[in-house]
This record gives sequence, C-alpha cells and structure tokens, in this order.
Amino acid sequence: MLEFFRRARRLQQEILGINVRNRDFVYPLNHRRYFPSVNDKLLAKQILSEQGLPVPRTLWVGQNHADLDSLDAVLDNTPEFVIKPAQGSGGRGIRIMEQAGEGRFLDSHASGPGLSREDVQAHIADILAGVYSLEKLTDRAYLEERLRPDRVLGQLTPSGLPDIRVLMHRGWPVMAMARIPTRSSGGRANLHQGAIGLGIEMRTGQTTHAIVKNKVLKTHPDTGQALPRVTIPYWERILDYSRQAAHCFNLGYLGIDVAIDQQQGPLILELNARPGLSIQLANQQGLVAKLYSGRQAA
Amino acid sequence: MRGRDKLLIIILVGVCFALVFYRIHMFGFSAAGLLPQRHYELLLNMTFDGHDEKVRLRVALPFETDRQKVRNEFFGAPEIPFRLKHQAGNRWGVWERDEVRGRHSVVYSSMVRTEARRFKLPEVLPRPGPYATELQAALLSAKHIQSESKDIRNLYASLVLPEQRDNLAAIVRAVYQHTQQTVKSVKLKGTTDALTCLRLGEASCGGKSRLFVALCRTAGIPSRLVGGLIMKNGTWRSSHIWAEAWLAGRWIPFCPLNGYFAEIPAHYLTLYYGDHSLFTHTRDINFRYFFHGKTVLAPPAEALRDIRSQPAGLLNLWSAFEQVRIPLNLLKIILMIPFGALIVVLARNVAGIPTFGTFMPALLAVAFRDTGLLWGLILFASILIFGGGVRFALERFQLLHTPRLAVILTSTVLFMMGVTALGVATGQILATRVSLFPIVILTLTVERAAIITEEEGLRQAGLVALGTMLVVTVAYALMSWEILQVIVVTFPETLLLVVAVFFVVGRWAGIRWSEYLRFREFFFSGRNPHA
Repeated sequence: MLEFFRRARRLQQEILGINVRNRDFVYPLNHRRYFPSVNDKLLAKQILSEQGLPVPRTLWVGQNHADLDSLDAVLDNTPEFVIKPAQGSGGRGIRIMEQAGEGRFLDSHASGPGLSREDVQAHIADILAGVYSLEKLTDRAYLEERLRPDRVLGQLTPSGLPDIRVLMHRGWPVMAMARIPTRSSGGRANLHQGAIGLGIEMRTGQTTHAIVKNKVLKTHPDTGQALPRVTIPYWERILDYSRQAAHCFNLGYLGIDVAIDQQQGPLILELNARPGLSIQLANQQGLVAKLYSGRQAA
Repeated sequence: MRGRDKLLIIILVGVCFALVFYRIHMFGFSAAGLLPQRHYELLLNMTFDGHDEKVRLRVALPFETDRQKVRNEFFGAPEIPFRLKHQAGNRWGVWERDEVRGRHSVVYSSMVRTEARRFKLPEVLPRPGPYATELQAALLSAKHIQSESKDIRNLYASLVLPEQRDNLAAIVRAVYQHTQQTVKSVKLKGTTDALTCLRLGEASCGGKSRLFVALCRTAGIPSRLVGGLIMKNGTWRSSHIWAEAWLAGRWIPFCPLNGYFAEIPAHYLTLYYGDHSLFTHTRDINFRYFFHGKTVLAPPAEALRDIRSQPAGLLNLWSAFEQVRIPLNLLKIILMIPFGALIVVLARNVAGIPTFGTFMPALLAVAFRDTGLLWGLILFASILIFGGGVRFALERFQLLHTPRLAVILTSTVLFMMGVTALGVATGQILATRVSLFPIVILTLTVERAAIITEEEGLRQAGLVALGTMLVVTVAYALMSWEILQVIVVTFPETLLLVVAVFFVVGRWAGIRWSEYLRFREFFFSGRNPHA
C-alpha cells in the first residue's frame, strides 16, 4: 500500500499531465493567433518550404466542389498518392491510395475491393465539408506524393510510413520518439490508433523503449519478433531541421513530425501545437524535470 | 496557484457569504419557514364518448388531511356541468349531463403536498372499551371483506394465539406479517375480495388490503380500506389501495403490498376511504383516463401570503418571480444548469472521462428531466445505435455532409415519433414526454460517434458513449437534488461558489485520474534508464 502511494507520488512529480501541459506550456507559449499556421498543414508546408526546409510535394489542392473537376487529371497520372485534410488532426481523414487499374484505387491499409473514383471524390467532399476537422465547418483537401520509408525504420513496419516526433520547447528539442505504423493502426503513425512508439536517446539517436497503446513492448505486435534497437538515420539533420522549423513559427511548445524518405531523406510532415504526452511512456521518462530545469538535452 | 487567482477566489466566496448573511439578517426571514417545498402537480385526464344519452361520471378527488394539502385546483370540462359531493369524509367530483353527444374530455388538476407519517405502536395495546357508533360500520363484514366467513375466522385463529387476542398490537403485527409476506404479491386485474385473496394465496394491493381489513374486523379492530395514488414523475394509470386500522384512538396506516407498517410514505396521496371505486361512470362510454404527475418546488402557501405583504419579499427572488408569473420550476432549471457544467468540468479536467462534446452531458441532463433518467439513457443509447445504423446505410449514397446530417436528424425525429407511438400503444406512456429532447444535439452526437467508430473503432466510440452516459447520470443526480435546489433557488448567490470552483479547477495542476491509467506502465515499472 505504501509502495502504491510512493509510486503515485513519483508519477505526480515526474509525469507532465494534460492540465499542466495546457496551463504552463500550451497557453502561455503558444498564442492562439499562431495556431492556424500549424493547424493548417498546407499553410505550414508553405511556411516551411519558404524557409528552404524539405516537405513532401503537393500534387493537388481542393477548396470547393468545383475543384474536383481538376482532380481527374491528377488521378489519371499518379500511380500512388496520399489524400489529406488540411486541418485534420490525429491522422483523421488521411488515406493512402494506389492505382489498381480499371479506374479503381486501393486503400493501402484497408482490405476489400478498393474504391471507385466516385468513392475517392466522396471522401474528398467529406473533407471539404469539414468532417475531419472538428472545430471547423469547411476545410481544404489535398493530394500529396507518397513517401517510401527508408530501410532502417521500414524494416519495423509491414506497411505505412514511420515518422519521428520531436518535441520542441522554446526552440530546443527536449524529447523524441519514432512512431511505427502497425497493422492495427491501419498504416497510420498515430499512437492512439495503435502505432508503436519508440523512445529515442537524444544524444545518439538510438531507440530505447517501445510502447503500443500505453503498454511497454518487447516484441513487435505484428510479427512477434524481438524489436531491435536501431539508430535513427540522419539523426543530426532531423534535429537541425526541427530547430529551424521551430524558428519559423511563433510557438514555444511544438511537436514536429519528420519522415525519412528512401530517396529524399528527412522531410517535415507536419507540426502540432498540442503535442501528445505518450512520448513520456515511450522514453520511460517524465517531461516535468526536462521542461522546468531549463537545461536542454541537445 | 498565483496570487491573483487566490484573491479572486477569496472575493467570490466572500461576496457569496456576505450576500447570504445580509439577506438572512437584514430582512429577518426565517429561512426554514419560507423554503420551497416539494409539491406534486397532479393531472387527471379522462375522455369518453357520448351516445345522445345521459352520462354521469364520479371521481374521487383529493382532500386535505393532517398530512395532505391541496391547492390550485382546476376542474376543466366546458360542456359538462360539475359539482362536488361530500360524503362520509370523501370528496367526489361529479360530472353529469343529459344527452351527451360525441367525444368529451374532462380534466382535473391540482397541486398537492403530502407528508410521510410514521407511528410507533406499543408492544402491548390492550383492547379499549366499546367503540363509538361511527366506528361500528368499520367492524362489519361486507361484500368484498368477508370477515364473518369461516375460512377467514380459521385463518385468524391460526395466525393469532389465544393468549394474544387481547393485545391489539400483536394481532395487527400477525395480520400484517401474513398479508405482507405469506400472501404473494402479483399483478391482478379487477377486484380481488378478501376470501379470493386467502384462497389464491396471492393478490395485488386490493386483495391484500381487503384480507388485512377482514382479519382486523374478525379480531374486532375497526379498520377500513384507503384508496389513492402513488405519486411520481411521469404518466400512469394504476391507482393504489392500502388499509387503516383504528388503534390507540386514531387511524393508523398499513400497506401490505409495499411493506409499510404503521407508516405512510410521502408519495402516497389519499383519495377516498372505504371500499369504493375511484371512477364510477355510465356504461358503454368508452371511458379512458391517465394520471400525470410532476414534482415541483413551490413556496409553502403560508409563506407566499406573508411575503406579499412585505416589501422585503422583493429580495426573495422566487417570490418575486412568482408574482410576475415566472414559475419557480423554470427558475430552478436555469439556476441548476451551472451545476451540470460543474460536473462536466470535474469529469473532464479532474477525472479525464471522455464525452461527446463539451457541455452536451449537461444539456442532456436538463433534457432528461422530462423523460426521467432511465428512459432518457435508454432513449439516448437507442438513438445513437439507430442513428449510427442510418449513417452507415447512407454511406453508399455518398451524400454531402450537411444534407447527410439533415437526413440523420430527420430519421431521429421519426424514430422518436415511433417510440412515442409505440409507448402509447403499449400503455408505456412514460416515453411520450420527449418533446424537449435535444434532437439537433443528438444528431451531431450521432455524427461524432460515427467518425470515432470509423477512425478509432467501435470500442472507443462505445467507451465515449459510456463516459457521456456516466457524466449525464451524475449531472442529473446533482441537478435534481432537492436540498441543493432549495438552497440555490433561495440564495442564487451560491452560484458564485460554483464559479470559485471553476477557478480552482481551471488552475489545477494535478494529474487526471485517467492519466494514472494511461501512464500505469510508468507507474508500475519503475524503470527509468536516465534516472
């Protein structure tokens, strides 16, 4: 019993909870005025590429229904692509598609007969109607090039694109984790959908612990094999991009998602002004000491 | 917490108590005598069809007793002459007219206040001398109360030992024990007399109470049936019968069906004494009726009179509102909404329970006032399931967002009409009180639940639905807590305390309960490679 309270107390002292994150970091460091610049991924991409930072290529942007007319040409000429809502969060509304011939498209992470062109258009119409952006009534939809994971992180996932979440505090990286899609996450790298979180040692870029759905893992949930410790490729460059990206936005508490493409190397996928807290579990380390000490990890 | 937060909280609490203190002190209103009390709004609705012949309808109406007050009575039947008939302590409403044609409806409504009464019977209660003449009738065998019959005499002889037959308390205890426990409780239609009840060994309220009265009369204790209603929120048709025995110089209540010994609970409304019918009417008029009840807080009648003659009454908010005809009940609903918000705030920021929408649980709790909690939850869950089904079926039509929402909304409306029709058809009229149910909010919830199902799985959607229902339940319980309602209606400044709590939670830095669960691996493992 005493042990129970001792541990509860340790948790209270070390773990950053949602209340404190919002009260002491998100509200004071992230002015609401600057939220749109990261909440709208298209806007964020524009700001990043203006600063010379690498982002995935945008193939098509739709703002209203009339834009769907110009979609056909893109669909005809692109073997694979990703559909995204500009203001979605938590991976909502993202679909990774590839041509399956005869005017049909396969959702890379869903089984079944695939989607017709009308299904694809209906999904984009839903995005435009703001279905996936909970706070807005309308949204923009866009098509993006599909990235291919590099060998090191790609070996850890059957499908989907792993990415690296770097948590930035006042312009400095404080904690990071790799997010590996699994079968149950449907190819998406979001932890709440079942992706694996791998803690990363900030100095070396070596992965440490692994979690899935708040539980510590030893083996891969899809293959059952031991999860190898890997060193994140381009680690120094990822940290460097993260620092540069953080300087482009007036936000003091920020999650930056970086993917590593086979050919292009690290690319910034998106930014998050309310980054999640599971990163502490993946690293088996609380954020409180790191954020309040003023001492930065890298 | 920073200094300015503390200061503001202290100011809020201070102003609240200062206002309460000031009003109690300066205007000297003794809170206890003036606090609103629980009343029931009673509505009796009757309809019948006339066939050009005479129609007579007699109904037992509530009267005042030492535990029962009746006011604001209304007798509505524009075309049927009405009169009151007082007879042997009972009060009958009689509607009577020659040559009645077509369908008519008769409405009676009033505001009643009933109190609980509990009597302590002594261990030994000797037989008194001869009873007064007016009690003699309460000793006689009657058509449905066959106290002279052999079977009932034999039952009495087996229940009460010869040496106990002069102790009235022991007799009543044995008789009550038998009718309450040995005789099984079942639902029976029509009139069950004492003898039938004895032979069947099971009965509903009427049979049990008649057997109780018959046994008492066999024992020589004056006793009688009492007819009335069990008051509640909602709509119902059944009336209730219990019994009274004359002990130690007064009538003492017993309810062998619901297990009240020398006790009558607050929600029993007395309508008549004796073995009568609640309704008597001309044959073949297709007579139908239902009762509707609703608890309301109302100032006691005496208080209202006092306060109107005092200028200080203006400081009494509810009395002021009553004078401009804004019902206390509406005021109460409005004043309780912040408490619903309080539960939502605690659930989100302290417990971390996921819900659909921020204040939706509080709004649902308000809406559930009309349906009752259980029906509200059932309705909420079935609308979620039904709406989810509709949305799933709509998927293949690929409708645009807003028209799709409108289809779900319309199906929700139709579904609720269906539930209402079903309720009327099956006699479960409770479900008909859904008029205020927030259809639009529910539609948005259906959409949100569908997206959560699609993106995060049915399990997660189910969890959020459960979380919502839990928060609604707690909010509903707090908002319908009568003591709190009385306090808030009398002293609305207590809402400043609620605001103070919002400030405390708003600056609270603790870990949410759900986060202990979320970080349990950290909690239990104790592993910390960097420590």
